[in-house]
This record gives sequence, structure tokens and C-alpha cells, in this order.
Amino acid sequence: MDTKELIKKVRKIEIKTKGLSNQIFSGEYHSAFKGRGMAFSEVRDYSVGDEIRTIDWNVTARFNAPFVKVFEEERELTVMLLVDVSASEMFGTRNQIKRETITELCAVLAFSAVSNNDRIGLIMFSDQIEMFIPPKKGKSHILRIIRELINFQPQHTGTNISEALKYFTKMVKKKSIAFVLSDFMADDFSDAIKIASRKHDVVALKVNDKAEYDLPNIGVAQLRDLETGESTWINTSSKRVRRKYKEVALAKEKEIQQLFRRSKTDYAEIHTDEGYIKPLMSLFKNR
Amino acid sequence: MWSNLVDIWPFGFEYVRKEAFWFFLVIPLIIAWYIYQQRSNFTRINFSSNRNFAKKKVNWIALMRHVNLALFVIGVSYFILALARPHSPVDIDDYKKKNIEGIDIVISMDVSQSMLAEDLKPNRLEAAKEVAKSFIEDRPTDRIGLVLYEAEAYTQSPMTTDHEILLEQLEKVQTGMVTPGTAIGLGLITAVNRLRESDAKSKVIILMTDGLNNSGDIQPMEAAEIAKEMGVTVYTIGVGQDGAAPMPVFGGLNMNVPVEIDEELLTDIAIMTGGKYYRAKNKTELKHIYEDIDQLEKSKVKVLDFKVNPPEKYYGFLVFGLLLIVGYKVIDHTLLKHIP
Repeated sequence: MDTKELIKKVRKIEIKTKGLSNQIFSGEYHSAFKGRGMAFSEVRDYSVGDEIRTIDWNVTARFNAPFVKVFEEERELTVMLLVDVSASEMFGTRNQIKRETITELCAVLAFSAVSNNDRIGLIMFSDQIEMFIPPKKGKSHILRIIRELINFQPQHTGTNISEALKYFTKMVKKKSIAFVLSDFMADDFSDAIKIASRKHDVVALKVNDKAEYDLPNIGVAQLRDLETGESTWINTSSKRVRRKYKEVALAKEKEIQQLFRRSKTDYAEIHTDEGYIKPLMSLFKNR
Repeated sequence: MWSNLVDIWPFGFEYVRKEAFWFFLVIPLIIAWYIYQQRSNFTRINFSSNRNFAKKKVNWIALMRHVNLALFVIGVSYFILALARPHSPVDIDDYKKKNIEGIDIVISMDVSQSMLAEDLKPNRLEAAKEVAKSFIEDRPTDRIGLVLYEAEAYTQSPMTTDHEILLEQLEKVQTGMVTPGTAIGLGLITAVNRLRESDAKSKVIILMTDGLNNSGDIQPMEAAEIAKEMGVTVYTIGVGQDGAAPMPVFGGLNMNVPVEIDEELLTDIAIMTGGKYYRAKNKTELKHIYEDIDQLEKSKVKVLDFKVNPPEKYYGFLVFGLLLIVGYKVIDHTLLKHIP
């Protein structure tokens, strides 16, 4: 991918997601992730219904009309994006591959964060840490993150989520919000996520393709596991095979959901073919 | 042809075009191509994870694919075998029997009353028939005819390779069918006449008699002359023991009748036509004589043994190969239909 093409792609994602984060998610994001302190912002005229205790008596006395203080919560949050770039993300049967969906999600979150004056950082991982961009503010920083997300070629294929979470807790000392974007097709990571969510605000965004639940009927096919490179012949025309596969996939899904609930991790399930606006909205609202 | 279709076990056959076996080098190529395809990622579909598939000890599809390839390879092999023109060794014998140009033989047999003499067991005629029968059976490739004579001569069977009919006709032979007497000349000339149209390379008459020439318009020597002209070899056999032979007469009585054979005449005929005169005093001798003639004429058959061009056996191979390849294609496009 040459630079021109890359810039074009970054622009495209910027335009697509900036609008989303400005119009749809701005309020939701803002209220979903609150800062700690309250900072004074301005005084304005009293209107009926305002709390009496917010009246600024000094100003009221000076102007001879009631004024109230308006506070704004203190932002300065740190948002970390933990992005799975393992080979399994390079899969997709509908309009996008999972990696593209994840990139867009990251862009939405990043623009939402920057418009709320939050700092944003990035960790890309496969079965080891592939890249770490420390949290910073500013639009150019976001564009860099998007560029890296589009252009990054991982060195390894596997997935190790607990490694990534451990690295995250080690590197980021300040309490922060961590979005983990992955398909969560990995070995057990329950301990790591429990430890991480004790200190940080961990949000899991599970990105899946529909074919990962419902095998499409494409006859006999040699399926190659992108992560291990092993191939196996599967008769996808057999209803029994498809049913069995779905059962296993749903059982694993359930297991992960239970794990998220146990570790008090918020999560949203996003499918490459359904769009991510709805699940994100409901995630923000339910917090 | 239907039996040819069933006969497809490839090891019982001989192959005319062994060069075609070089085509078997195609098979390692096919297998190499199969392995290459199997290995190459081009034919695979990338999938995020195979974790959720049940682990199986035997992947039946992979196995079936191998089996299907085996079908294809065997099908191709049968095509190659068909190219190599298979035929069974048994067929060659059969073919020779039917198609090799043998020699033409006419057995000219005396069936006069005197043939009932019992110096040969059970009598001369039966002994002659029996020996002639085994002679005919031993020469399956020759056209053999049968001429009988008493005072007149007639053809019992024209020359034929259908020896079953010939043996049937031989079985029917009995004495006293026509005017009694012994017309050696007529017997010989009738036999010669039967060979007139023959274009065989070797023409043979076996002339058998047990008496003197005592009737007929044609002198034996004249007939021999004609036979010589036409390139017919005449073997002459005199049947009967020395002295007298017992002869059945009315009422089951036997009467000793002197044996008169014109040996001089028979020898002359034989010498003139390049044959040989034999004297059969009993059945064993007669048998030996026939064996001798058989041997003498056999060497000529070998000369005639031209290049064998036996019937092809490839139908079965071709059809079977085709079936296998079609079967392979059908399975590949139905049961094992895969992307890409």
C-alpha cells in the first residue's frame, strides 16, 4: 500500500467515523465515561428548576438577579485501544473483514475521545505485543493511530489476549478506559481480564463474522486455519456438521459472555455485516 | 464382445504395443499435481479458526479424495493398457485355429465290402474311421474333406474347417452305399477334383484302399498324373494284413478271404506325386501312418504360419477406464464438490 492510497484510506475512515462520533456518539460517549472531579465552567441565568445550592450568591448579589454556577466534569481520561491484529482478524465473508471493522471502531472511539479532550493510546497484539503507542491528545495523533491500524503487518499469527492485558496493566499505571477489540478466539484469559478490570475500566468489543457461527453451505471445502496454518476438509453441505459447529461456537460464545459478566467487564457484540452503531449505542447507554 | 468387457484383469494378457507403457509416466505426474494442489494454499479457504470443528481421527473427505484420485489413476491406467493392445494368450491359439492358412487335405477312403474284414479291430472300416477321426482332431487349422469310393466315388464332405460337421459325416460312413467294387482311380480323381479350386500352398490326398482297382473309367495312374499336374501330394495307404483276412458273411460266419493289395500301383502313385506309400497291417500301424503324415505335413504348416494378428481385447479396458474416469468426475462434482 503506497502512501497516497494510505492517506486516502485514512481520510475515508476519518470522514465516515468523525461524523458518527460527533453526531451520534458524542453525548453518549461523554456520559458513559465520566471523569473524576468537577471543574467550574461558567455562570448563567437562573431558570426554574435549577438547584438552589448551585446559585452563585456573589454574582447574584452583584447583578441583582439570580445566577447559577455551571460545572463541567474533569475529563483528561486515558483511553487505551487494545487491538487484536492476529491472522484470524483477516477473515470476513460479508462487506468487511474483521480487521476493517475493528479499524473503523477504533477510529470512532478515537474521534469521540479527542472531542471529549481525552488521551488515546494503542496496543496492537497478536500472540505477543506487536506495537505500543502511548496515550496522547490531538488529531494528528489519532490519524497516526488510524494509519498504523490500516497499514500494520503483524509479525505473528496467533492470539494471546492475557499477554496483551498483562502488558497493558504494566504499562498504563493511571486508571484508564481500555477497549479490547478482538474476536476472542484465544486460549483462556480470565485471570488477566479480572486483574485488568480491577484497576481499569475494561470494555470488550467482540467482533465476529457471521460465518463463524453459521457455516455457509459451500460444499466440501478445505478450510485453512489462518492462525495455525493447518488445513482440514469439511463437508459444509452436511447439516449435521453445520449444526455441530454452531453448537460449539455458541457454547464458546456463552462461556466468554459469562466470563465478561463475572469480571464486571462491559461488552458489546459486533458483527461485520450488521454495523456497529447499534451495539455501541446500547453499550454506552447501559453504562 | 460382452465377454471381452468383463475380462479386464490386466495380468493375464499379452500386450502388443509395449511402448504404450511409457504413458504410465503420466501417473506420477498426476499424483505430483494432486499433491501440489493439496499443498498449495490456492485451493484452500482461509478461515479464522478451526477450533470449533470437532476433532476427528479420520477425515473421511480427505480419505475419499485419495480414493477418488485412485479411481482416476486406475482409469487412466486402463486407458493406457487399452492403448497397449491387450490380448490373451488363449486367444492366439483360438485365432490360429480359425485364421491361419492351413493346408488342404482330402481323405479318400475305400468303403467297399472288403473293408468289413476283421484283420484290423473291430474291422477295417471302423479302425480307419477311428484313426481318421483322431487325425482330424489333431489338425484343427486345416481344411479337410472326405471322399468315399466303391465302384463309384462320391464326396461325403467337401473340404471344410468346420471339423465338427466333418466328424459327424465321418461317423456316418458305412459300406455298400453304391455299386460294389473298388475304383481307386475314381476315388483319387474325385479327391483331386475337390482340390481343384483350392489355393492352399500344400494340397494332400490320403488315399486308402484294401484291394485292387477293379472298376471305374479312370485308371489310377491317369488320376495320379492329374494330381501331379495340380501339385497334389498323394499318400497312399494299403490296409490289410498279409495273407488272408477273416471276413463276415451271412449268418455270423467268418470266411477267410485273401488280401490283395496292388502295392506296386500305390507306390507308383505315391512316388509320382511326391508322397509316400504305407502299408497298414493292423490298427496300430495305421495310427502310426497317420501320425507320420501328420508330422510330414506339420512342418509345412509352420512355413505358412504368417504374422499373427489376433483379435483385440481392449474394449473392456477402454470401457472400464472410461467408467472409472467418468465415475471420478461424477464423484468430484457431486459428493466431493468443492470450492474452488
